[in-house]
Amino acid sequence: MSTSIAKRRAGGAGIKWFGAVTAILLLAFSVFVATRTPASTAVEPSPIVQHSAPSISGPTVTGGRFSLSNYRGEFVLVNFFASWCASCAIEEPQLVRFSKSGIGKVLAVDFQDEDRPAIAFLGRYGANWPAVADPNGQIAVKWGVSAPPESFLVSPSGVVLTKIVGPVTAKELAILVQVAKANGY
Amino acid sequence: MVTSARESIGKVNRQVNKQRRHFATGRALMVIWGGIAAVILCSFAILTFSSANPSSPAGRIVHLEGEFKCPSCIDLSVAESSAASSISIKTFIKNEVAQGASDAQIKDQLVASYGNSILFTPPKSGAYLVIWILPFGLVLLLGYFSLRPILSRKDWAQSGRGSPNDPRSDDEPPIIEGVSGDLALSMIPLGETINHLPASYGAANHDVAVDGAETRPSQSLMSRALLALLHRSTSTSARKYLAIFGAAFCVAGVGLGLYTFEQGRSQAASRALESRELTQAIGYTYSGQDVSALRLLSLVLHQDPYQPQALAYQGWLLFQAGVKTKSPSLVQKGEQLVLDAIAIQPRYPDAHGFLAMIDLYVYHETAQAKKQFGEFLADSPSSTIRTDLSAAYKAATAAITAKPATTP
Repeated sequence: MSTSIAKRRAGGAGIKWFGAVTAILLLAFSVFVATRTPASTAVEPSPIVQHSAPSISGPTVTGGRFSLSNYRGEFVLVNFFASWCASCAIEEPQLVRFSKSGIGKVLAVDFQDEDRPAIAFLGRYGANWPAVADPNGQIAVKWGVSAPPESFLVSPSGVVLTKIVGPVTAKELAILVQVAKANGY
Repeated sequence: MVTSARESIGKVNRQVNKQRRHFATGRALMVIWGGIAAVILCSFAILTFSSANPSSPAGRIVHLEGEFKCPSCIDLSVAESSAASSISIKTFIKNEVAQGASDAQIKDQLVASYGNSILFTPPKSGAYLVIWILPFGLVLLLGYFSLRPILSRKDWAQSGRGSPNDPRSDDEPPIIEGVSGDLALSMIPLGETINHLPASYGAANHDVAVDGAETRPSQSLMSRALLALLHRSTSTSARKYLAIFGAAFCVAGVGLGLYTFEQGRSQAASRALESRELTQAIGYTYSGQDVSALRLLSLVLHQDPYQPQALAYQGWLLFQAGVKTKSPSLVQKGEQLVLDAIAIQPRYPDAHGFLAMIDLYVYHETAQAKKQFGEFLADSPSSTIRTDLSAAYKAATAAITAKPATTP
């Protein structure tokens, strides 16, 4: 009799243990999830930063051809933009100011856009830098671009120094270049 | 006396029938739970093993599009999204498949551009394995504990020994057909006699009354009280109330949890983002990636212009850049930002450390530098910055120690 009772009690204890372990695991998991940064707001550093810049070479929106390597030896701001992008319009005057300051060059990549609206967009702000057409967004994929405007500061030796998500200001770019110079780039 | 015994037996039989129904319901519930566990297990297995890559190019494209997350969306795969970035990735996958790239090569290329965050499902390796194994383990355990009573009952039935719940030893005969163990004992009124018990029922374990009738073993007052309490607490109505209360408690708990979560979600997300960017920026500062650090610090200060850590680190980076490029305006701006950080959070050790460095190397104010170092050390600075500034601290101490000797 005592053996059977012991067995039955052991069974009950097993279920209790299972319940307790499950509850603890669920609690631990809930705490873990609750203290994580929400995936929608997490900022992961770009994997291409501190690496050689992926190549950009192809036809420009005006009909010529251009390559990023043409700017080797100078600080380059690779700017992904589109004529349909509202934030790009806010950023454009700042890029013009940065370009005119002579601190560095600007190379635009026209992301998933048509040539004619892109030419009109650049002309509206007096932007006279080359804009490589990227109608299928394949250059953007190589650079890990999610949505324009996104910019990358490339060192004179062709290393990506930083990724800038959203509109950037000329002042900020000037400081970034100065700090990069101070660090030997 | 005979009437009383018959009434008792009738009562016992009714209780037995009720318990049989309960037992049948319990068994049915266990079968249902087992079925649910099996369905969940099968679903997991199908989902996991169905990720085997299809062989046709079109199938591969569809499969790969479901493997990557839309970079500009929330919780949408590239396949589900029509955002510009998703269209680019779809084109990329299509081109790569056409050029003969393997799935692994395509995956590697996208991870190299976007990082691991582009993967819709976590990798099945390293610490991520826990996420995959945990649900399987829980379902298996649940299934095991749900089915164990049924399986053990089956074993008992096959061995001809009745129910495993029967607390009697194997050689004990049943008291009443269909009634077993504690169930039968608890249902028999205490002290009452039962006339037609099987003759084989031994007298060793139970008291034998006069005229061959047998009574239940006598029980102590405490045992009877406990049995009564148990019986009362497990009555149908009590269980019903308990279930309703439990359900209401659970619903209220979940509701409260969701409400609290929603209330704190936006603030928590903002704080978490700021904290993460700040940690990253400080990490960049110590690994020499000043440009990336400065960019992140600007983002933090854009969200909160009075964030003392961001102010101190931005000031320190600008100060260093100013010294290296011989730009007095940057040096001044850097110093001012560090001072601002101290004004906002007077006991922030890193800011005192930075100020000490500025005092020492720009103004050669060794005493002032030592004072700042003292405050820096008093505020329990992190080991990273302690190591970074220890050389400067030693230099400052050495300079102060040497000063009296050189002073005329």
